[in-house]
Amino acid sequence: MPKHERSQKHKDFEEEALPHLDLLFNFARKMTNSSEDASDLVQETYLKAYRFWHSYEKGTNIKAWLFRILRNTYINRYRKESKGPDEVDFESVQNLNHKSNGHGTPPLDQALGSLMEDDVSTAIASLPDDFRTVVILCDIEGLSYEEIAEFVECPIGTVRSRLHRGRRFLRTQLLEYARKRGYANKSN
Amino acid sequence: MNCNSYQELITGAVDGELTQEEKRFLSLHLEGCAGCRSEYDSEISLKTFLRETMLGHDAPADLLKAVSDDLRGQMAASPGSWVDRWKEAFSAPFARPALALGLTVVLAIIFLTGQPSNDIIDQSLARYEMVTEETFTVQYASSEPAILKTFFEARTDFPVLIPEMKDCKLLGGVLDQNPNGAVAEVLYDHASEHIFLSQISWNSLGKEGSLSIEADVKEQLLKENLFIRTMPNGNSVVLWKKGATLCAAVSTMSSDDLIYCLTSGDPELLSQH
Ligand SMILES: [Zn+2]
Repeated sequence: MPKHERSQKHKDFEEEALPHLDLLFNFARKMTNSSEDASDLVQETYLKAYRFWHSYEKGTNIKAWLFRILRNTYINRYRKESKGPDEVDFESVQNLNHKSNGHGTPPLDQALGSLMEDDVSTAIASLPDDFRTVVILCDIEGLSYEEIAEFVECPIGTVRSRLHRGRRFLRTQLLEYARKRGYANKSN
Repeated sequence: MNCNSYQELITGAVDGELTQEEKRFLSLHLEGCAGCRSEYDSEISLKTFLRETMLGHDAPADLLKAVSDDLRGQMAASPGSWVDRWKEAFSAPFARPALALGLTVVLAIIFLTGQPSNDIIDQSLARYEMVTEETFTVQYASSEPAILKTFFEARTDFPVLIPEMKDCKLLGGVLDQNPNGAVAEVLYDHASEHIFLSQISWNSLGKEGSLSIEADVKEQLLKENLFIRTMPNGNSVVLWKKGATLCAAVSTMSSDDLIYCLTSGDPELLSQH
């Protein structure tokens, strides 16, 4: 590649891709619950994105493109250590679901006050990957279902059902932590 | 309908993602069901709580710097003489103040990782990983052998092999001109394992802007026409020379299986001519 083309590529990349560093880091930080792991992931993501910059279609959603690279890097790195979303045991959540005529976990509002930020990070980190991804993107990053669907490449209906199950799981976990913190649940 | 069938609608309502009709349908139920109302309230509280508690974390200051250094290293590591790369590093406006550091990083990337970026084996392994990881949608020229052949013929100065192999499905081919000159890549699927062929003109090896080859690998190719390496992760690489073409096959299969596959359609595939 001639020199000027290379410099142009570098310039385009810096202008278009680099501004999303905070977004990627923030997401990676919540997925991994570790600042160091998040930095590693983001660094690897940018390296890959740079090497494959010619396959990015100009004018399409750059955030979604970068995000997919990050997500795939994440999956490739951690897949071996964690179970897939469908293998995870959701029994406990489902059981709660069927108790009390389909209503889920007991009200959470009063319990939330007793939680620490660490509890919340740990609870999020314990969610299966696919559920954690949508919960972070929707509840923390504030993306719409449509955007999330584009980011994770799945139908909008799947986003909603993953969110539903993810939040259920999260509530169960958070209540558990709240109990440990000494919050006495009224229904117990 | 029992309450279970309203649960996902509640999720959609919490996120403001329901259609008018879904909204009406859900409100009717909520009016008469205290349980689902409390479910709705809890989900709202959780969402609000998450947003308030999980404040954004800005990337650490040194991350942007690390990424920029990486990119500079990548740019400088594209082929060309070292002199050119360094000149380029000088001429890039963003690099000047950090030049000394940049060079250190370049050297670190090239030497500490032990991966000279333009060695044919390293390149094939890296491309194989990227293509099969499906991190990227590769825009294949075609998965039709005849069309692919014409495509390559018009763009390369060496014959590209698109062998037929037993139980192997041609997924497609792509010409990678960036950054190492023309490398023709052909990907096959074999019972959900991949065979990836990178091909390059033998005569361009080691020339500026092209891929290079380790001296002992070259020597063995000249002597026996075949070179096999098994990587620590179990991937195999098989290199052979056919006329003016140097071909590198990469797969997760063992090298024996890989060679068996390669020659399953054309027993002469690995021979010199
Ligand atoms: Zn109900």
